[in-house]
Amino acid sequence: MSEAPSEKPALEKVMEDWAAKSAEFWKTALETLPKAIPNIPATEALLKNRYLEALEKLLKGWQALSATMADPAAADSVLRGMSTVPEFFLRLSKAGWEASVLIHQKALETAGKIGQKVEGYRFDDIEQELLKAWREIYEEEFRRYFQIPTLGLTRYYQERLNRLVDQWNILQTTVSEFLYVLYLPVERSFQVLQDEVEAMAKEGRLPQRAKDYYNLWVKILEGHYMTLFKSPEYLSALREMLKQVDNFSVAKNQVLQDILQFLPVPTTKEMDELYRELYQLKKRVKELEKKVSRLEKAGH
Amino acid sequence: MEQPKISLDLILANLAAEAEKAQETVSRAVDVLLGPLDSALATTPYDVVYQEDRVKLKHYRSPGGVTFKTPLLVTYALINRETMLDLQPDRSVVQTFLNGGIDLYMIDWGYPTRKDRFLTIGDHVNGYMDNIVDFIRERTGVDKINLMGICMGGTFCVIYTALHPEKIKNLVTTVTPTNFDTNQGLLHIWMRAIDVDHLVDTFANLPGDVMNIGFLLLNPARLMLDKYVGFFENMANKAFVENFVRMERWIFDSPDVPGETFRQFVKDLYIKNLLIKNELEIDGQRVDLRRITMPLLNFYGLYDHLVPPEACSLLTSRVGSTDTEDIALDTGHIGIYVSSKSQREFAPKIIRWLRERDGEEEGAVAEEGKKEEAPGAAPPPPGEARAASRGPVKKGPTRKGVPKAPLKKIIEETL
Repeated sequence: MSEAPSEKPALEKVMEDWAAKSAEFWKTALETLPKAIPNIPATEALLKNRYLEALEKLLKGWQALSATMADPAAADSVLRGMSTVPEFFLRLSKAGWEASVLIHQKALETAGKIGQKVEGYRFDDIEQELLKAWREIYEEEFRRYFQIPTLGLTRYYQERLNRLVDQWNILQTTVSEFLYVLYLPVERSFQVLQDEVEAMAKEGRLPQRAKDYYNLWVKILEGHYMTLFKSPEYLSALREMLKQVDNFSVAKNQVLQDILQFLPVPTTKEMDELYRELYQLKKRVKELEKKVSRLEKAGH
Repeated sequence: MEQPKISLDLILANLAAEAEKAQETVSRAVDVLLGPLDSALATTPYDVVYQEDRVKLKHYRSPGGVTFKTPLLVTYALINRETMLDLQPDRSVVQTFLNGGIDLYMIDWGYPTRKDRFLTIGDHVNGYMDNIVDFIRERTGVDKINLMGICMGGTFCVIYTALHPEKIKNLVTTVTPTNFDTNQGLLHIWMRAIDVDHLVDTFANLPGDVMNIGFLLLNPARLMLDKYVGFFENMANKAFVENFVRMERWIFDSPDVPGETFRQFVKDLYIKNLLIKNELEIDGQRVDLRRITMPLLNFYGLYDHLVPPEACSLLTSRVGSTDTEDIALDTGHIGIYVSSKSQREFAPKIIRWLRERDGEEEGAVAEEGKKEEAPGAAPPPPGEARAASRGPVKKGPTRKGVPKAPLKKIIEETL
C-alpha cells in the first residue's frame, strides 16, 4: 500500500515518454511519405493521392492521439479510464451471473414442482403414476422452453426443429404409457397363475410338466388381453399412441423437408402435388378411353 | 393349515428331462435350419394376361384342362397377398380349383406406393375390377363371369356385383365383412376408435407394418409368444419348419393400403356401416344390395377373430337373390383357406356349387325362386322371407331344385 503513490508518477512518466516518442515517429513518417513516391503520370498521381490522403489522415490521427497522450493531464485521464475497466467487467459479469442465477432458479422451481406433482399421486401404482407425473411435468413445465417464440431469418426452421424435439419427448412418454398398459396383463396373469397353482397344490393336482404351467399361463394371459383390449382405457391409450406417432411423423417430415429443400431433390410435398395431378389426369384419360371405345362399338 | 401336496421331486425330474429333450431338439434343429429348406410359396404356374398400373391379372395354367364354361375371378383383399390361396402344393385352394376344372383368374393388387395414395374404393371397383372383368369376358367370349371375393376383396366383390350385376353369373363371398355394426371382433372396435383422418394425412398410405403390429396386438399371447414357443418345440421337424417359414413369409408380406381407400373403408363401412343399409355411395352411385340377384354362396369362420360371423352372416338376407347359402366353418380367418380340414371342405364345396350353376340360363334361378312365393302376396323386402327359413349359423342352400349333396360326397366327387 505504501508503494502505490510512488508507482503512479513513474507510470505517468512512462506513458508521457511513450506518447511523445510515438508522436515524433508519426510526424517523421508523415514527412517522409511523399518523398518516397517517384515521378508518376498525372492521372495515376491523382489516384495515388487519394490513398495518400487517406494514409495522411490516419497518420495525423495517430500523431494527434500520441500528442494528446503526451499531455500529463490526458495520460492521467486514460489511466483512470483503464482503472475503471475491471469495474466495467465486474458489472457486466454480475449482470450475466444474475441472469444465469435467475434461469437456474427457474429451473430449480420447475424441479421443485416435480416433487409437488409426484406427491399428489398414489404410490401403490407407482410406475403408472410416475409416467403420468412425468408427462404432466413435461407438458406444463419443460415443454414451454420449446415453445419460446423464435426470431429472425431462421425462425421457421428453428420452430420446426423445436417442435420435432418436443414431439419426440411426448412420443417417448406416450410409448412408455402404452407399453405399460400392454404389460399389465402379463403382471396380472402371473398373479392369477400363482393363485391357481396354489389352489391346485392344495387339491393335490399340481401339473408336473413345465409345459402345463406355460399353457395355463398363456391361457390366463390371453384372457386378460382380451379383456384389456375391449376396455375404454386401452382404446384411449391406443388412440393417444397413434396420435402421437402421427404428430412425431409430421414434425420429423417437416424438418426433413427443410433439409431436402437445400438439396437438388424434390420434396414429398412437391411429389404429392404431382401424384394428385397424375391421378386426376389418369382417371380422366381412362374415362375418355372408355367413352371412345363405347362410341367406336356403337359406330360399328 | 393344510400342507399342499406337491411332489417336488417328480416336478424337478420332469424339468430335468424336459431340459435334456430341449437340448436334443436344438442340436437336431441346427441341422434343419442350416440345411436347404423349401419355403417357396405360390408355385402354381400362371401367366400375367392383363396389367394396369400396379395391378396384374393372373391366369393359372390348368394341367387337367378346363371343364367349366364360366371362368372364375378371385379377388383378394388389399391387405396381405393373394399368395395365401396357393401357400403350398398340398394346401392350395388354387390347385384344388384347377384340379376341379375351373378356368381360374386372380387379381394381384401389387404393392401400392405413395403414388397410389389418392385411389379410392371406386377406383378399385369401377376401375381396375371392372376393366379386368371386361377383359375376361372379352377373352373368354362370355357375357358373365363367376366372382369370388376374400375378406376385404369380398366386400369389393359385393359392391362390384351390386353396381354391375349384368356381368356376374355367380358370387362367392368368403370371410367377407358386410355388416360392420358389431363388437364381436376387436378390429371392429379399434377401427371405430382410431382417428383415420389423422392417420391417412400423416402416412399417405396405411403402412403394412402398422397393420401388422395391429394384427399381432389382436392376440399377443398367441401371436407374439405361443406361436414361437410352438416353433421352438418343433424346429427339429423339417416339414414343420418349412410350413412355418412359408406362413411367416406370407403373413409379413404386407403391402401398404392406399390411403383414400383405407379412409373410405373405415369411415363409410366400419363407422357408418353404410353397405348393409344400402346407403353406400361409390363414384356417385348408390350400392343397392338388392341388385345382387344371382346365386350367392357365403362362407365364414366361426372362430374368425378378424371378421366375426356377425359381420358376414347378414349378407344373404339382404341381397335380392333367391339362391343363397351360408356356410359357417369350424375355423378362423386364415384357417378357412389353409387348414387341412378346410382343404377337404372349402374349395371342393365351391367347385360343386359353381358346377351346379355353370350351365344355367341367366335369370332362371331368380325366376324359380320367385315361383315359391305365395300367389298374390306382397313381395317381402329382399332376404326377409328367406331369412326366416334358415338357421342362424350353418345353413343349407335355399334354392329349390338343387339337391343337397352330403359334404363327404361332394369331396369324393371333386377330388
